[in-house]
Amino acid sequence: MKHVFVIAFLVLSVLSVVTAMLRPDPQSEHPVLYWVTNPQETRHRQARAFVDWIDRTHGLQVDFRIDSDNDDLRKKIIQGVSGVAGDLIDFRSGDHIHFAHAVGMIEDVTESARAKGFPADKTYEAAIPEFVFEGRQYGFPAGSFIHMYWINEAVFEQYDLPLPRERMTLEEFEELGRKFVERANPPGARQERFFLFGSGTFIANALRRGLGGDVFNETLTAATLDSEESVESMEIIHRWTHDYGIMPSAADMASFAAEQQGDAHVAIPLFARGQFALLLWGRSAVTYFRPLGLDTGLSVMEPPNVGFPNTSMGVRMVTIYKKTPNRELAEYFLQYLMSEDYNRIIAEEGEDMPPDPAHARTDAFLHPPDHPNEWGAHDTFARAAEEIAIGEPFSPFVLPGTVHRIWSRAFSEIMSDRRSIHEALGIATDRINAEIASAIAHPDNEHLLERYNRALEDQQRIDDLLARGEPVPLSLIRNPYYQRYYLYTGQAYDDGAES
Amino acid sequence: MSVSASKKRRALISGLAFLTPNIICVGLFTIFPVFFSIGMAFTNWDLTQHNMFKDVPLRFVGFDNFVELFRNLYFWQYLGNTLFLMIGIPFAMAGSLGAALLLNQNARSILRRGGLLLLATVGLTGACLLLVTLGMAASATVILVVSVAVAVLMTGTVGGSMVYRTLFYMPHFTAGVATFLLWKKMYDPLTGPINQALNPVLSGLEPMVLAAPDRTFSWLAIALVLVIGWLAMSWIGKMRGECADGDLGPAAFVLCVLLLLAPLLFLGFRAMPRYLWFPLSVGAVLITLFHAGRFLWSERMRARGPWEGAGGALLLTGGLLTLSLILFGLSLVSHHLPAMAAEGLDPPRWLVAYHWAKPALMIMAFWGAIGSNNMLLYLAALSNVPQDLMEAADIDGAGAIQKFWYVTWPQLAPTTFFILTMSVIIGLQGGFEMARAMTEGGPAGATTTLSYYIYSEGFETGRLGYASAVAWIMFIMVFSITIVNWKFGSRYVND
Repeated sequence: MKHVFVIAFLVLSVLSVVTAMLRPDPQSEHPVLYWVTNPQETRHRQARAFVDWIDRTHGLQVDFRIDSDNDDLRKKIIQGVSGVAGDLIDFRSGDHIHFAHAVGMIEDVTESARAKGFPADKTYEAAIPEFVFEGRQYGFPAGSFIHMYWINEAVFEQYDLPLPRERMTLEEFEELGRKFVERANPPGARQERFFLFGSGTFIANALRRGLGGDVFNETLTAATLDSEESVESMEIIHRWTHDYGIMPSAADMASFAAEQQGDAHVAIPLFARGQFALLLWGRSAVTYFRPLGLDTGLSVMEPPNVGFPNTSMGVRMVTIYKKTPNRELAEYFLQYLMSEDYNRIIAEEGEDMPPDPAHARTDAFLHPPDHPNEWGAHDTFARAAEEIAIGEPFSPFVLPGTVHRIWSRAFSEIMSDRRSIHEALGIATDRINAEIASAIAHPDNEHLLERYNRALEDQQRIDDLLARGEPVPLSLIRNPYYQRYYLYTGQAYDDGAES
Repeated sequence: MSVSASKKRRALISGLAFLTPNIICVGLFTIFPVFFSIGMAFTNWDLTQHNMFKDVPLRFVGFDNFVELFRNLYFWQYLGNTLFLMIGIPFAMAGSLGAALLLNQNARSILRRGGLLLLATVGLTGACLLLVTLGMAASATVILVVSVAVAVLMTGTVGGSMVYRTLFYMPHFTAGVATFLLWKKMYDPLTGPINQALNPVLSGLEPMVLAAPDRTFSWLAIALVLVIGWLAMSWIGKMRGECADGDLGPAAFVLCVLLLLAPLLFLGFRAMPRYLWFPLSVGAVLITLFHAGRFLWSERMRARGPWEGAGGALLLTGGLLTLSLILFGLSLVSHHLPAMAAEGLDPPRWLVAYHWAKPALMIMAFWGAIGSNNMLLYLAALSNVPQDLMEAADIDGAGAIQKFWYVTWPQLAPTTFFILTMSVIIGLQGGFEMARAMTEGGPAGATTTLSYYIYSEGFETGRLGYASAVAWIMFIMVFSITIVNWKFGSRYVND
């Protein structure tokens, strides 16, 4: 037994040494910078461009490495709090960025952003709530995305239907949708073609906002998911799904995507072959369309207008890990995101909106030479990003991830007919408000309580002014949606002060 | 003497040297985290507040996490989900035992007789031909099924039991996620093979139901309820007889009666019309009281301990309860069938429908359990059943069922007890992988189990203290049930 043990020990030791020797050399003659991002080929092009750019503009040699193995929120957080995360970390939603910020693992870059030329106001206004908290900037967008409805023009021709206009009323949209469903699906057979595919929660958010409501109130101190607007928006989604067949149900989606239930990427090939006439997606959908060889006419429309035209904007964000030993180099990367080199890649590759809005007006963005079928789409994205896109409402009193989970749960309960719309939204509202109450009552959160109390006073003033029919000073409003909505309806005025 | 002591010491040192790495790892990665998590459960540890980037001190919050937990409605829903999924345990055990009994036969000798093989092949091929004729299944599927069936039978004939044992055990060594994805495809509500097979059946059933005379299915529903009542009363009567014989203690009797009747009466109250529920309930209670009264007057009752025979009685009561619940479900389906048929009978939407998601997971778990380690344990136990007992039973003229019930089943008691204990523990802790891969805990939390809840609270919201509290509540449940199992199960085994 002893011999067996010794032999096993020796074999394992030798194998350990061999494994260590086979690993990529962690040493480099240049400073090594790790970028935790998603595994896309275009990231490598962006990384190579950065190495050239920093050499050309700053005379620095960098060994820039992509880490796509750890591109998962839980891994990022756990590695972050363990002190071993990459120097630069991507986050692909405001929920994730806010979580990382709440943990405290991402660097405040406000001053260096001003010094190096990538302050928040250089990018889209609607993107700012995603990465600026209490006036401090935590990173810079590598790209911003807005949700619009892609139109497969060939499908409308096939069924002899008029193309949707860029902006349509709810009634027009529903009428066209019902006609499409009727013509595209033989009577008596299982419905296989739908008018619209998209994340139900996103569609509901846009409808709610169009009707005049939002997830939170004006000061982000309370959830308002049980508002009349919210109820009405869910009634519309429910009707589209279960009565009109405009949108696929969960069962339909499970059929389309048994391997990845609910995974929107399944929708791309289905859209390309005409099973969905419209697809809710950002501009980056073209990065999936192009490899599929989709060369039919493509255009884009806004979410149906129920009173206030709007769509949501999110960001793919690059942040700097607080414990990075290469902070200066990491800041150069954020600076690079505003550069001509980087923005040109974004425009050419068909990724989301470039960090520098000026590049959304270049010919490379609007008229990609190899893809004339897309030319009708990019300009609409560029205009929508500036005119109707609005940032998400992030309450400082509750984690956005928690809000998202509660809201998604309510959505699922409604769509599976588990609860009535009123009941599900009422429960969700109570739960979010209970989370807020719990957060501000926490003894470690005294600063939050003070902030909450100030916001409550402002909310009282807003409610009083609205009740009297007087306009509200913009500085009192913290929810980006209400800032835009009240200006649109004339219920607010810009008093020039900061909110 | 000193040489011997020296040898012992060297053996001890050598043994410890071998064990030390393992002891260190177990201590570091198992025992320490377990005790550490007890402490965590009583703190407000939140990843967003307490980490290397912040100097917010960790606070002791006493039982706050537990109080919050018990106030949280979703915790109760997820606990309910976990317990609901555990209803499948008796079926899984029965499936494992059934598979083990089949695999314990000498397949080669049976199959060489030819009759069974011929019968099975003819039956299967006939069924497949019928399906093809009626256009009820894609011919490719039929060919596949026939090919696999013939291949299985042929290889079984050549290779004997070992081939079947390997095939049955296959689910256990197939990667979990791959299996889950396969089942997800099978459960596809519109194009999956399960619903493809159910569709024509339901289409055929629909006109039959509608053509049936008025109230036929209501009477069938009532008949099923009466069958449940008859089964329950028969079992209570049988237990009373065992009490009279001194084989069952009074406390065990009362517990079994409560375990059997309380859920049935509650469900009946929820689902049945009052005019039906009331007389049935009163009847059940009166009959139960009658039996209780009879054995309370019995002289022999005093001669036995209160928990005598509890293990076996509880196990069988649990099995009967499960059967009763299924019959009750069938009764409800029968009652509502005409109305459902009028609207058109559709197959279940399985994973995407709130009320079907859990049964869908249970069916899959049942399939996995048949060919699991439990089957191997039963196989091993079956090989240990003394042949002389079987021969004695043969001499006494016992049939196959009698031999199983009076010889094999008691001999399997220790294994059954072990499997039950482990299944309950695994059941309480389980469900995470399935839910994560197939439903993400949905729809509307229908498949979120306690283990999934721990994961989401710990790693999605960062509330480590709260997640630890959930974990410890789960541990307390596992521990309590295991203690009960040991207390009653050991008696059952020794009986």
